Amino acid sequence: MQDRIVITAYTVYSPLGNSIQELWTNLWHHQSALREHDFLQQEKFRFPKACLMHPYPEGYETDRGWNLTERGIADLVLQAEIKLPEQTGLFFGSTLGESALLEQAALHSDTNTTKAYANYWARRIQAKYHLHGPAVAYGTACAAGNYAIGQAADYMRYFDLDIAIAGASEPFSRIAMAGFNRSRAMSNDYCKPFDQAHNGMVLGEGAAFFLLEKEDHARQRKAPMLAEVKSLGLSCDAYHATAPKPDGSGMLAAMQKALCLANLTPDAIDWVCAHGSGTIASDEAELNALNDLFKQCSPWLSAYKGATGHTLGAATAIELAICIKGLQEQAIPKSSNLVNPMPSQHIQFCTENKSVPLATILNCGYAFGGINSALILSAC
Amino acid sequence: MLIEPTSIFSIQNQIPLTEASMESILTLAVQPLQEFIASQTIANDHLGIYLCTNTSGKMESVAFWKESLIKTPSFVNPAIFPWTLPNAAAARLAYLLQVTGPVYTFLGTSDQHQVPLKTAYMDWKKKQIQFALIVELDVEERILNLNLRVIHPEAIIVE
Repeated sequence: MQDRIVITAYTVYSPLGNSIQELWTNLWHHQSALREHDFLQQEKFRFPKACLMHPYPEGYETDRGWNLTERGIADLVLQAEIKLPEQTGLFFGSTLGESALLEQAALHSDTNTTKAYANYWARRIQAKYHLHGPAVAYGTACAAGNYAIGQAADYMRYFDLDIAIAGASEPFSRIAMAGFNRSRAMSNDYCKPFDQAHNGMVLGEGAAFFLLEKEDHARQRKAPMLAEVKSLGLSCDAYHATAPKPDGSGMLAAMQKALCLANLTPDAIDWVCAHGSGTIASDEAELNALNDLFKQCSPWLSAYKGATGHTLGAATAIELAICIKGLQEQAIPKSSNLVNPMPSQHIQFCTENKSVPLATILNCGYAFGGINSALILSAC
Repeated sequence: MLIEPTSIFSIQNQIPLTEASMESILTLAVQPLQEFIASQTIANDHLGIYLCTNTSGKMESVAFWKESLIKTPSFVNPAIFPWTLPNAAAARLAYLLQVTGPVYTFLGTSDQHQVPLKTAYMDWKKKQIQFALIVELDVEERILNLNLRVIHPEAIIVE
């Protein structure tokens, strides 16, 4: 019998709050972090709006991803009241890493870019806390948070590891802002996932980190067991560099794998925390997948990128934090900016805040290149 | 302790990066691998890609932003944008080889804790894959180092 892997502490930094309580309260009150920013206008971005953390500094802040990581983990250690054992594993995700460092390298060719990716953050955290366990960094774009957390749990099950920190960071990226804008993926007003008027994404930034422990380890130190990481399902569309497979079959495969690995059937899922990027292609493919999966049951569905912005590599980590808070509160905040949901036979869209019994949640995240992830979380 | 199995297929490329894009280079480089996979009975959803890189996407990110500074973000050519992401190479390999199993991009050097092999081992134990494509990809001094190996994860020995 495999060890149960539980989450005993978690921290969030997001444009809608630098703690889960602040983020949750803002979601519950239907707030959005989307603002127009002078510097984006000055730098000639066509759509100068984004969801940024306050205050956003002027110029290129080339260690913003590291700062988010360092602060997130310092808070996590404080919250968990733990001295990290030497063998603690680190599992981090990010899409572009320190994008500002790469942007600066375009101006100054002698810029050292070896510090640009998440593996550098992992090495620095190892040094800061004197850790010698595995340190793994995933560059799996917008699914990186799910990869990091699900893989940490698997690593603990298959290799001799009692405790790990997993999560993801993504500082604001001008490269992503320009790229998504020019790829016509950005909304020209605001992001409204699964709404009939959906017309694109908006960009965000943030981080979320989780302390994972084997159940026995958590019990021994009397740590609160907030949720169990059940399984991670992964698949690839092998279809297109940027567009998802329209029928959603790749996304469906990831969801089915997650259910199979957790030994669950679709009717066990109470809530789907969807990827919901707000782009027409992604929302339609995801809804196709969900309609195929949930033919006999009707889980709740919500998405939050309309409120936090798309935080790329950190998105599935921040959304997992919302899932855990949902389990604690037995409630689901309204899906952001959802007024007229797309037609669906079985899915129940959260167009209002809901207080409902929750035991098992599916957290979905997909990425450019057709990378699909689905993570199942359950109450302890 | 983990003992690596013998590769059942292996190619190593050192390709100068000139005007050719990473996309076309990968297309050419994996042709022998495509032929190998076609000759085997490997189910697309039971092949996983485990790519390790320290540099994938960096060169493209710098080039994309350099052009954006000249043309402004509203007029930069978007074609290179997907290649700014570190996972673009693994995704392209998945497309070329029609791999629909798990696809990973690990950031850092491949020898660290043998993470790609351990991950392939876990996926095999979970019955997610039958074969693993282990890829090392890095760009140094405008030379692309690409090393592709297909292994049977069941032959990985964990002691």
